[in-house]
Amino acid sequence: MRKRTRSFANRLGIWIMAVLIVMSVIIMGAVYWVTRDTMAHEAEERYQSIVLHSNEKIRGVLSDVYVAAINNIDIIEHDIDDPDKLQEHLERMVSLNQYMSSCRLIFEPDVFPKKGHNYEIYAWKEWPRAIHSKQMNETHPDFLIHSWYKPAFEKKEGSWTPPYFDRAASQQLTVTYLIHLHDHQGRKIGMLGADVSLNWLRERHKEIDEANHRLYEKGISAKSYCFVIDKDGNCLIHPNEDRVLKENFWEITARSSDMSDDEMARKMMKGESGICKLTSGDDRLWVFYSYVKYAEWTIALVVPEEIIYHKGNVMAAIILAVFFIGLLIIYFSIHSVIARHTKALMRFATATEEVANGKFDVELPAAKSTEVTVLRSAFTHMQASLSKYIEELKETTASKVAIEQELKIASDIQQQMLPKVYPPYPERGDIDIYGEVVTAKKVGGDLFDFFIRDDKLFFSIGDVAGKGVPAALVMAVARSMFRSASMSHTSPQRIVDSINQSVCQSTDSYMFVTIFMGVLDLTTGHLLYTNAGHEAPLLIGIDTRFLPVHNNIPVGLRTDWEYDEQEVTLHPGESLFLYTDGFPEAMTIDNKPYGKQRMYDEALRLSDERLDACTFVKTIRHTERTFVNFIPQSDDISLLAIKYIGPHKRAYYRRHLTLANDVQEVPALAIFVGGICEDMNFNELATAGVNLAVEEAVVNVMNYAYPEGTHGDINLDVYAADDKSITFELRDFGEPFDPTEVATVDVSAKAVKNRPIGGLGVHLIRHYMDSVSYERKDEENVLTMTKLLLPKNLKLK
Amino acid sequence: MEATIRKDDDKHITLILDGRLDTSVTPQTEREVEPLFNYTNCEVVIDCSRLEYISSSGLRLLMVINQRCRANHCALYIKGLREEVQDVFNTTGFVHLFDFK
Repeated sequence: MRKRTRSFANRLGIWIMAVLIVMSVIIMGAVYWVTRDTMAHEAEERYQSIVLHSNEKIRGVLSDVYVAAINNIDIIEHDIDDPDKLQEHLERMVSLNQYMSSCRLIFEPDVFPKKGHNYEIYAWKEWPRAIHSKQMNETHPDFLIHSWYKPAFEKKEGSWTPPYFDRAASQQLTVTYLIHLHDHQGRKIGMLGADVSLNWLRERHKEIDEANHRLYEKGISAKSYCFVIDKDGNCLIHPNEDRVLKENFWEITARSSDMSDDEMARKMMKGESGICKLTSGDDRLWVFYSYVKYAEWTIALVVPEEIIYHKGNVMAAIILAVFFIGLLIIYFSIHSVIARHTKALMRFATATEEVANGKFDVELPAAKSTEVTVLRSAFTHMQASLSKYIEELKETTASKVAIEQELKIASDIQQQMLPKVYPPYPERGDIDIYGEVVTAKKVGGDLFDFFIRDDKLFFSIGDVAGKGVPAALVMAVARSMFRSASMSHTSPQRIVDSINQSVCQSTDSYMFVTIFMGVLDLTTGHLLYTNAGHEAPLLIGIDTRFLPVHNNIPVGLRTDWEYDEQEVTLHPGESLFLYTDGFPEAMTIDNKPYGKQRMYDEALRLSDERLDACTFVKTIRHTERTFVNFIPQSDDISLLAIKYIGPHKRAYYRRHLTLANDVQEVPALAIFVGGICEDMNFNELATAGVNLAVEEAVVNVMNYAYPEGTHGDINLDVYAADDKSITFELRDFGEPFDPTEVATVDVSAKAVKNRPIGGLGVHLIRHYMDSVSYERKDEENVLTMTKLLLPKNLKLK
Repeated sequence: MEATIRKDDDKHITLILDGRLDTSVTPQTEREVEPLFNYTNCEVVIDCSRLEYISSSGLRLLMVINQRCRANHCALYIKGLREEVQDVFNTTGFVHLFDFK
């Protein structure tokens, strides 16, 4: 399976992204913290300023009222004796002061006896402008129910009362500034009270809360709120109205488990301002608190931490998102840019594949970048070179094919010069020839040839020095000269001389030929031969040996060389084995030659088997092939075997079989004889008879010719000289035995019953053969049996 | 070459010779027909209808069978000789030595 690969664009993109992401994470972390802190700081300052502003406002309002009270005290003390005038003063004070909801004059008992035991004047404002005033006495002892009057009167200076619910007039939470009234004698006779309704303060803080919610806390579930407590911890202003004046902040903080709020409460009591961070359940709260002088209150703004950091978080989220989008854009841009540029590479790959498929003129893709341009020019160069090389290769191949073709023709012509039909003379029983040439190259320099003229066999074998076409041409010259000279001469000496002259004339490049040439008289077996520098042939027979040869020089070297000739007589059954030097010089892979000695030993071993020429050549060739372990030969090898059978074996039909002296060979014999009978067209009865006769004769030899336990051959030659008869010649080298001398057997009814078993075989041979003769010849028993091809023996046509 | 001994009943034995009875197979066939000589006082028929060929050694085997059957008091017959084999019997006078069916 192909391993999955990522594209270059992809990989580069991923690497760049990885680096960018790491860098971004660091930068974004830093930015986030800085932004968050800055934003938090900003929020903190904002809330702090809100609280301070609120503080200022309260102080401003309270100081207005306080100043008004101080300023009016002289006027009131001036008219202290006239209560009605005092009422006017009060009404004026109320109407002139924006934040003064009401004011009063409270007198000690019995200051104005006319007005009753207790006396108080009260003036108030009804929204928007109406000013009312009334006198109060025992029926309306407003001041008497206020716990704050007495402590304030006891004080040396004026002071603010704690907040209280004013039931007398405004029905609102109120604080009052009380300042002492003196009579003309300087005695404290009562107090001037300037009231401030805390309603405006409540409204104002509600507005602050709403403004905060609207401006800074949009979209956040948690909300900030303000509350105001007095110095005793009483809740004056709180978004939850139920808690006003009912709950004590100190008690609340003391109850909670958190210690930081206790610390905050302590600081508040001491009149400090600041910021405190609390934990309330899961929420973290920031409390901004500020101490209001004179009133001795504390304004607190409770802001959930979420709000403080909200803006920072939102900011950070926006920055993060922008970064992320930026990264994505970078990634896709890189990817697309690289992909666009590497696309050319893919097109190059496609183009290369087409080139590989043989399309050399394929259009190369256009190059956009420098690298691809370089690649493109290299490719163009490669294309051009490839096309050129392929063209050259085509030409070379074509010319090589042409040469091969010519060589093939030359080889065919050369092969046709050699005799190639075997047996070459099937009508002659006196000679058996087989030859073969195996060339190492397509055309070789070996030659052999033979033909019969006037009962004489002219034969030659030669080897041209050199190989290939030149050698083959010289060979052709030598061969044609052998043929033409043999037509007019019978002496090998003369023939070789003619060949020498022609070869000398036809070659000036010292291309010489070694030749062994012989003329065999087929009637007598007399052989005349001339050897021109060739290997001595082997004579194979009873006395297997190399034929003695004179040292004549090869033909083609000197025109004036006088070749001489030698002679020998071949006995029937003897063979001449001729060869070129390629045969004994065949080498094994480690350069061990087959050698003449080995060849001689093999020939000697085979001589006992009396092989026919073809079998002999093939067998001895096989011994050489086996020896060199079938490696291809380096030199031409020509082998020619000529077996001289003798004049009387002249036949148009010839078969031979060699048997061992073992009765188990009989089935093979039956097949052999059966084939001959078939060839002779014998009918069934004659076939059975011939079979029986031959078997009886062979079994006879097997049983009696050789001593028991020894090996001996039995040769059966079958030949027909004409269409009149067929002859079976049985030969063995066993004890002399003439079966024809065995007495005839009486087969009459009377005799048969008493005769001993034996002699039946010979009787059967005589019966089924038309003539039987025996001779002892050259240590051989030769039994000749002839069967006539009479119509009664043949199948009906 | 095949030699088969078939027992038809207590008194009738058939020896079937099938193929070529030449010198090479005679010793083997001689061993194969050995059980034939266990029968006494019966009739032995040699069926030669499938015998294609016989050599002198084959004839010699037949003579051995003939003699040993006689020793066992058996009557020996030959039947179904083919033409080629009949010719051999004629030639050798064996026609006089055997009874035919």
